[in-house]
Amino acid sequence: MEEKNLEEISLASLSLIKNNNDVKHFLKVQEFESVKDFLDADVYELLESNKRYSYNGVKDKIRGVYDLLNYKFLNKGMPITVKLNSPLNFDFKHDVYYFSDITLERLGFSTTEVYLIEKYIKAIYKKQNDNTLINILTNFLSYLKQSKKTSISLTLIEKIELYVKAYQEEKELYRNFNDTNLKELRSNIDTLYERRKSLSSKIDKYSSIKRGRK
Amino acid sequence: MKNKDKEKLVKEMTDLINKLKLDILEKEKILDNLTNNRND
Repeated sequence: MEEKNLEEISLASLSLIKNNNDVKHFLKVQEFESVKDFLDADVYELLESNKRYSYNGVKDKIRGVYDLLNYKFLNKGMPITVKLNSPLNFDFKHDVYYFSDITLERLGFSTTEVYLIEKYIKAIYKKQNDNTLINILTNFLSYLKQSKKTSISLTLIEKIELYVKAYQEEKELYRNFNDTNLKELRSNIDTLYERRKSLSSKIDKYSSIKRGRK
Repeated sequence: MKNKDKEKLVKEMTDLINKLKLDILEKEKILDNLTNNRND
């Protein structure tokens, strides 16, 4: 595979490690029997075919992929898609660190939506000095609103708004932390626990109704 | 409480909140699927 083909690798193929929800999987990765067990085939092929990167162990292979992608990011602005999709955002800039375990896909963005964001990032990359996820999304949101493109779904705008709002709230919290908002946080947690519990009960109820029908 | 401790505490709590929000999102999706398919 020639180097230029890296740009043609689809977003989905850049999910480097299967079933990865947190960094622990990355640390455990050396337990995999072969690199092929967790790398998507085209990423594996890319790594194998790129002579500049010869890595030995499984962990090194992953590092190799990241090095390669990071190299591309620095030079062409490409592998930021990895940042958007992979939970392994160990090179995230500080101000998006707290969201490093939340990926767009896990937030409910579809592949098409992530593709749109990716497309936008490629278009604006060279114009922006700050390429942190939150800045990209904030700028993207302004762009979507200004352009009023009918092809862009309202859901996508709503999702990004949610994400940006959550980020801003968290940053605000860090800035003005005191005992009152500590209490608010605790209360939020209680409310969320209740909401989750209530949803679980509803799911159980509907699941048993469904089972009863079969 | 020292600032460092506070930051740590807030980080832990916001992480938990984020996790709960994600759980809720997932459960809402599951519930949507279940209720939408109820009459199938």
